[in-house]
Amino acid sequence: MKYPLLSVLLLTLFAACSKDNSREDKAAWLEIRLSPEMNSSAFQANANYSNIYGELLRPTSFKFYLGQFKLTKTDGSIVSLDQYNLVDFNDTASFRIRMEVSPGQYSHLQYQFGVDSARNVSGVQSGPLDPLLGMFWTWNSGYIFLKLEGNSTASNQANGKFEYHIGGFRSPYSAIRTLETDFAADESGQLGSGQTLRVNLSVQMDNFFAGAHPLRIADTATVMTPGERAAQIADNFAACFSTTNYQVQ
Amino acid sequence: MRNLLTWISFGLCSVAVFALACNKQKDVVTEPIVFKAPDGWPATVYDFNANPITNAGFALGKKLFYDGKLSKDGNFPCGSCHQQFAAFSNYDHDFSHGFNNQFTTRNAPALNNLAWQSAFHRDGGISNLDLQPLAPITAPNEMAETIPHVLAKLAADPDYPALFKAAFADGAINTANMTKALSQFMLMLVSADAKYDQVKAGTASFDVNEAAGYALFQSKGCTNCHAEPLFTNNAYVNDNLPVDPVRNDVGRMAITGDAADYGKFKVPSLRNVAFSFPYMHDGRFGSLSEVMSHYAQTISLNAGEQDLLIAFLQTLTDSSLTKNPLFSPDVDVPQVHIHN
Ligand code: HEC
Ligand code: HEC
Repeated sequence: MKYPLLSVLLLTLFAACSKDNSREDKAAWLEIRLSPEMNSSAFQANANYSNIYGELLRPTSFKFYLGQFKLTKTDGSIVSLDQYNLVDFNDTASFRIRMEVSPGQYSHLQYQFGVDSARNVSGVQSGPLDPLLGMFWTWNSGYIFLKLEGNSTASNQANGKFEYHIGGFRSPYSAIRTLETDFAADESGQLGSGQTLRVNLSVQMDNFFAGAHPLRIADTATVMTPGERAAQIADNFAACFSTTNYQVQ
Repeated sequence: MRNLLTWISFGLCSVAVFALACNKQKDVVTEPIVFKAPDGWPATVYDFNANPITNAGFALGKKLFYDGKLSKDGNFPCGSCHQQFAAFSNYDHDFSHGFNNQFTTRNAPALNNLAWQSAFHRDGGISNLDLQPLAPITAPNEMAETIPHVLAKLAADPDYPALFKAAFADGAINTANMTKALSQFMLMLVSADAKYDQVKAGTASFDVNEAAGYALFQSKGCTNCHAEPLFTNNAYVNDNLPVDPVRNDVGRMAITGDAADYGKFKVPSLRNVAFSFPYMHDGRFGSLSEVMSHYAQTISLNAGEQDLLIAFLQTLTDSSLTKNPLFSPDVDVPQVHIHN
């Protein structure tokens, strides 16, 4: 160490900086709890399910990006959380997304399935968006917003596989979907400091197949590129989400 | 906060000043590697602010570019398909060899002036230079690796951890830093000193054939697509090449899903075109004369004119790229040493 003085100076500055950021007394939290389900039971790897067409399926992989949570306060101000989360049914810790927000009376929550277009094209991202996680099309730059893979006796593919890699940020086939939860106008959205606003979201995978755009594994066992079909499946997936309830604790 | 930033920049400046002072003392020859856009060229597209070029970053990128570790069996570094003496194309290969005796599905293009390109691959499927390496590394018929496995190999290597530390503030061996380093190397592959450029700068002159070829290049409309000074307008065009029914490479349409893009490919730069044979996205033409006969089907070009065009195209060969020791795998990059 030839320049101890400089290092001390820098360290002091960093320490000062982190003090600045501490908001111990003013912190509150938004917590999202996801419950993926199918056939009225938890949607899990290697369990057996059937869709409304009677096709049997056994998922092996199910991951998707959820993020860009935006909370609106009753005074109209918005708290935006510019972050993404990779939800993976083989990592149940990912079903719980906890974020620091400011206290206040909230009326509305908006969030996004998929990854915004800027992040698809502006170089290599890190954290949950690191391409090493395999949720990225390398030959056609862009995130795979959702992967659902598994086996089904209905599939016409070799070894009975089905694979849905859903994504795409370019119009007209963007697969980005915005989802919303409204909080009642009473005090229930009132979040005090130290408290957590917990929103329980159910993800009914039955709708993935039975949604507005019917998806029969026998007809379509693979979707691996952005395009019209991927955008339709994104519609179906968006229809899987519903708010079970929310509470402040 | 602003205050803090000022202090940090002051701190960093002091480090830089100390570093320079150090170098003087130790008498290390320092040649900072600087990206310089040639005068009068269009604005660059690459975001240099997010990835400023440094000697250490460039040196790391160069090592990565030539290192077989990035491929599954160690045999297919980037440099195996992008050879310096061939202006970073794959010399005399219509398709390149990749892992397990497989071939690439397209012809490897020459690499130059990448800072001016907004999309990569012949179908423009890759939207940022930093994202480009992910494609060959993970393609089963090219380097056949996975990113986590490559990063693990680099982390276990005796040299790389120090090189990443020298190149990036956080020193992390991660996807972003690996690809940024590769970009730093590739961005420096600027080709702007061919005979053509020297003529433009007034330091050389065309012979009569080259001059006549240049005039034809403009009057026959080649510049509509191969626009100077980059010799590409970066557009996607159907160059009247029938789609090969076996390969069925539909080009740009595979990316956009738009039927209007059927058979369209990116207009390639013609810089160093003498080296990039065989030609076109699938290497279907072995020589420039074959390319000229192809154009003669739609543009009136007699045999003499075709030869003159070729004479002009030869003036786009740039030995400052193909012979520059800075880009050679065998020459070390001068380092700026920072002592602490
Ligand atoms: C097995 C051969 C092979 C290897 C190894 C390889 N490439 Fe390539 N490269 C190609 C081919 C073929 C293309 C054209 C692909 C296409 O257009 O679809 C290409 C295209 C490119 C381009 C786009 C150029 C342009 O003008 O659009 C860049 C940049 C590039 N490669 C960099 C790299 C880097 C960096 C590496 C190492 C991480 C690498 N390549 C490894 C064969 C290879
Ligand atoms: C309408 C746009 C357009 C015009 C005009 C045009 N080209 Fe091209 N050129 C292209 C495209 C697109 C390709 C690449 C096609 C592919 O990859 O299959 C190409 C490829 C080439 C190549 C091969 C480069 C390589 O490395 O593979 C040469 C040489 C060439 N053009 C020369 C010319 C000349 C000379 C003229 C004028 C007589 C001309 N071009 C006019 C669009 C054009």
